Amino acid sequence: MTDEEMAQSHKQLAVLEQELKSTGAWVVSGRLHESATATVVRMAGGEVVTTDGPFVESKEHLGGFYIVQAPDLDVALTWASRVTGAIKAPIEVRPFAGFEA
Amino acid sequence: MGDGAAAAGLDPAEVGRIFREESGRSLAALIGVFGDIDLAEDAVQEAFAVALGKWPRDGVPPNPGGWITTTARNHAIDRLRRESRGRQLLSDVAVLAPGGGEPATPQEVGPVPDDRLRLIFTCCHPALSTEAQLALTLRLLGGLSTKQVASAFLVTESTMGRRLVRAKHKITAARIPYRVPEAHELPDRLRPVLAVVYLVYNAGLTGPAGPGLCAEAIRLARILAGLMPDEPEVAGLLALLLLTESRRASRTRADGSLVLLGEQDRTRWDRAMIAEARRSSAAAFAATNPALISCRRPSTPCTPTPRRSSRPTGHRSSPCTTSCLRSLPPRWWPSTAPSPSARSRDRWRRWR
Repeated sequence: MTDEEMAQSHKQLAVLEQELKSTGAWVVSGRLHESATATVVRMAGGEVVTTDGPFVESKEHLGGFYIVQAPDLDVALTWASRVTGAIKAPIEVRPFAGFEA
Repeated sequence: MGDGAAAAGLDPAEVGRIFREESGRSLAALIGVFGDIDLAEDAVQEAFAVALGKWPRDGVPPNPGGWITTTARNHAIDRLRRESRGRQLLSDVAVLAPGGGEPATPQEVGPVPDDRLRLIFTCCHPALSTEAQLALTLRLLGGLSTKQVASAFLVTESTMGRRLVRAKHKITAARIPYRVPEAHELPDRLRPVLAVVYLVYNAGLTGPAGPGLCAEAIRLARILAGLMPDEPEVAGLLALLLLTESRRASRTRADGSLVLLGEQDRTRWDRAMIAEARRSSAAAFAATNPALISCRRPSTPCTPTPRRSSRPTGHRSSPCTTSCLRSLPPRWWPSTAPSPSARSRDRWRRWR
């Protein structure tokens, strides 16, 4: 993304988040630092081991997240389409467990 | 009601036929009330088990679908009463269901709310894989058993069972809504529905399940056309399926080899199906934007069809002939036709 596209994207996200908040859908959202800043903590041989680097080496990383409240998948997908339109990257929509009807 | 002749003439096969015809509607109505696919499926099956014992003795009720729906609803309510998790759901149902949560007499003949449109849009939600869409549509709307669906797609019953369970779990967990999309969403959401119906037909043409699936696809297309009379794509799909089906008998020789359109014995074409297809395609073309599907098989309905002719039907006077035929997606392409151009393949991808 060029700087200009980035600025445009931020502007769209700001509008979107404002709308998420005003409709009561927004719970929390955040952007993550790049994956080089990741630290992994895991169990190995019964001990906790801390290592540098992302959990999975891959070309694509989780860049951020939104937690929204939506009555059904279609509403969640509508929000997601707007996010993806602003960030020009795919977004995965997953339901929270324990909130089934 | 319950006259002796009807009682004497009823056999389990007849109940089976009624099951295929009525279960989709009953199931759709019950999912609408309870919001639980598994509960609705179990209840409808229990209701048919009751019918199997009762109808041969008492005769088929005047409105078998209404009877099944009411009986199934009562079964579901009984089951919810027994389960603690059902109590809350039941109090919601009391608000939603006409007549409250109290079981009505199974003789009810009132119209069953037709929720099949909601059901097919849920089954064909883009969040589900095409395999899952097909399986759910055949299982829930078509009333096919898991075994029948499995054999149609050449997988084992347990594989298909797992696929159905996963799909239903996703519907519940991800809260895929049970509703007909709004007008502005319809162009996107109707595509997978039509594609599923066409793929069901195609599986019947080429797969081991045979004509049964073709008939099922046409039945689904008729239901859709009845429920969405103003939708040209639906009318076009129905016309396309009927036209293809009308020539089934004349399409192959006794040894199974293919008979080209120009060489087919037209006296063996199904005139009633062609007439229905013409009415349906006329409806599709009457719309301002001719439907994509209605362009796919344009030849026959656009022109007179002489009983015997060696000339391919309609290639002169049809408003959209070869170019439209070329827009058929490759895998639907009949083997008699030239290979579709890359451009039309792209068009298909967009459409899909």
